[in-house]
Amino acid sequence: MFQKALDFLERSGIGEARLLGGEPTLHPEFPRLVQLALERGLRVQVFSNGVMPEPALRCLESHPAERVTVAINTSPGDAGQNEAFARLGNRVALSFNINTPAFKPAFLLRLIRRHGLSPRIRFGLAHPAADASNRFLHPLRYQAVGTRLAGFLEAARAAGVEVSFDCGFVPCMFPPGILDSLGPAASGIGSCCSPILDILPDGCVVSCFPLALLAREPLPEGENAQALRGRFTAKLSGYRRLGVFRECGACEARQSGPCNGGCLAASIGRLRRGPTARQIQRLGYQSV
Amino acid sequence: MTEYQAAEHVRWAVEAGGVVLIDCATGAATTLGYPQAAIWDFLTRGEPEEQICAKLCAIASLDPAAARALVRETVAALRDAGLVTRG
Amino acid sequence: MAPRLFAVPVFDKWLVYAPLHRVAALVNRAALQEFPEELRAALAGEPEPEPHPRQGPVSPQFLGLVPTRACNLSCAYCGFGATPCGEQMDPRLAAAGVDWMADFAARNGRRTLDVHFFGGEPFAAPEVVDVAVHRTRAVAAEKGLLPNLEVATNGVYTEARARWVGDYFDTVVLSFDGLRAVQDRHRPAGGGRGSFDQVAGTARVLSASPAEVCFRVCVARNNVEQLAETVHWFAEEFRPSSIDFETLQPTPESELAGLNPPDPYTFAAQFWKARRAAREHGVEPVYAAAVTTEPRISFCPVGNDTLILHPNGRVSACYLLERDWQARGLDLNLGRMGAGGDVELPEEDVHRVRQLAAGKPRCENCFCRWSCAGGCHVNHSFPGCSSAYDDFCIQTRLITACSLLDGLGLESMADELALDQEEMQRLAVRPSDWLEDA
Repeated sequence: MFQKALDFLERSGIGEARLLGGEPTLHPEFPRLVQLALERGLRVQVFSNGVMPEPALRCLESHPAERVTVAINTSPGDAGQNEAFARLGNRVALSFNINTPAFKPAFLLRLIRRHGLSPRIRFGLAHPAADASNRFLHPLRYQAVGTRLAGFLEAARAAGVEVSFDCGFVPCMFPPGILDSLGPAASGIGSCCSPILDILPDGCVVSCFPLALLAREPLPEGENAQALRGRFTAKLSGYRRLGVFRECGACEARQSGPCNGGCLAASIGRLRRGPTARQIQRLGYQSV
Repeated sequence: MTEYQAAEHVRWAVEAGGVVLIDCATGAATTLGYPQAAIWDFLTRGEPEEQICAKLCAIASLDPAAARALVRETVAALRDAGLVTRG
Repeated sequence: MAPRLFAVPVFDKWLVYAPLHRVAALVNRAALQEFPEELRAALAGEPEPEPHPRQGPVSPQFLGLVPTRACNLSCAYCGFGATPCGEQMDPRLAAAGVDWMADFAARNGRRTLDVHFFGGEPFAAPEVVDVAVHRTRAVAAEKGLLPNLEVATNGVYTEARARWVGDYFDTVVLSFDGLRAVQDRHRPAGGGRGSFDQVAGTARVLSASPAEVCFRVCVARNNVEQLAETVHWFAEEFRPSSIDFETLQPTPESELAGLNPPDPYTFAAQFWKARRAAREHGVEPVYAAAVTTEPRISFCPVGNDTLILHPNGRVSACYLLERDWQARGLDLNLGRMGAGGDVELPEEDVHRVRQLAAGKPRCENCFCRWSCAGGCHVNHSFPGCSSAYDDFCIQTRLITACSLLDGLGLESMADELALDQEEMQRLAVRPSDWLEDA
């Protein structure tokens, strides 16, 4: 299955194999998977929680940062990652998932400095899982997050750390003028929500984890990523009309192009479905 | 009206100016502005026609006959578009 | 004219405050004694004008609608005397009110059409709310305004209704006094049943909805020590963007139920502790009387040109019961509206109500005069009220002082103050806060 996935990357002209999970380093053949990808001339990026078995650590530290990088998702006080930081050094770029507006990112700069990590931080928003069972960041909290991030950016710049943003960030969450100061890092804000194409262990490929229930099919033989993205995009196009906020439909930034309305999974969370006739009777809308 | 309900494959979201309906089977999106968005709200709650019309009179400044005609016309259009079905 | 400063003691220092310059500073005693004029001179620039009663045509921030005074709860402290039945507003009257507000907003270049719902329990008249909400949205779309709908509600209804509220309202102020024992004691449903399960269920539904959710907590002596714990629980279980704390306003009903207002020093201390807990969760804690962001002459609807439309077509400046104002010798009526769109808002009535916001003797020498501004005009700063600081004044002064210290980056000093009864008493009860009287 892994080889088929690598075949798919090759015929799609994708130069990097991204390994994620769960925790990908727990795969019993993780070092071999990395080797297989490298032998195909691909770079490897591993998305990890930083708590890795020894064979995985040894594998990763044996390759230079130009071939293998590790994105470690961290949170304050997470001591279990220290060994990975110490041994992998500048192969590691930090990522931080925001699920509350009360987040405090200053510790990220301290970690980079202390362990000589790559001077890059990727911020992500905790989006709702397909069954909304996780603790996600509600879109109403986006502006508070944007304000706090804006305050952090100056410190990051002063420390020589480059900040980038994962999917789902929207222009209106930031204070006016901040996006201009971000430079190239702002390029994806508002537009970075498109089929990522995550290939699952069972051989299926999904648009992304949060949308796994809506856009999913077996990894196609012979087709490339562009064709698959096109199909997923078409399938989800109706939902794209939504946007994460009620006001997205009337928003100028949305209509003129810079913003596509934010995370599609968060947008879909606004959808309602009708009750059955029997449920209507039982729900008793009319009574307080 | 109580005999109509949203089709099984239809989902909707409230927007600033109305409501957007998504047909999950085809991916098509339909926007309802006012006063049709109000009709959709009451319809999907299973309210009887008379009740919908009474409220619509106040919402859209219509007389009862015009309200009834608008409700029936809207429901017919939604039915023809496959967005509502008989319960 | 030299700027007038306030100065209140905080331990061995003085908190100097110039609200009209939006400046605060902490100085030592020597600075106060030796450099009072230099302190004044240090405030460069003109102060903002001292807030005065409004003038000119009536200019409401929002339209308030009271669809009914009926309610499906029997809250232990509620003086509304609400019953399950009650007069309901004619939906056409609600629509007329919305139309008036929409015309006003469009004529005056506003971006939003703001309509707020009060009660009783607004959803005890669901058809009226349905009509008013959809009318607001329809008219807003027609006039190029953004609808902004807010409701103060008890949350006791079906899950389907809760979902509807979350979908159609922009802000939901949910009365939720805390954990089960408190909620059920304070806010029982009829027949001795509690309301906790339903309200918590509604809070959960609203937390997942597109609406801003604010919890309003009534604080009495029995729950004042639990504020921080309550805040932690609220923040973990739900998604309030703010939690608004209000101390119990005694009523005959609350006395019968054995509920009493909290000691003001205890409330101030516990609010300050709860505030920290809230901020850690990214939730904004609110004690409305202590908001210092902008000088004001009133923070209640009275004096702010708020128009509250009642079921019988009367328009008033206050959503409390007419009998309550009348008991204070007040007339807060502003006019009338009819279902046909006829509106009467006599200038002399508007002027009379506006003037109530001025001249509050008890506030004259208080450093909170332009933030608290006397609080509620019916329950606190009514004509003939006592000139001595009462519990509301004390807790407001303390929380405001702590907030100012916090704004100066002196959070630990604010924390210390909130834990020191003697220091709090020294600050809270002073005949005058003016610098020259320090």
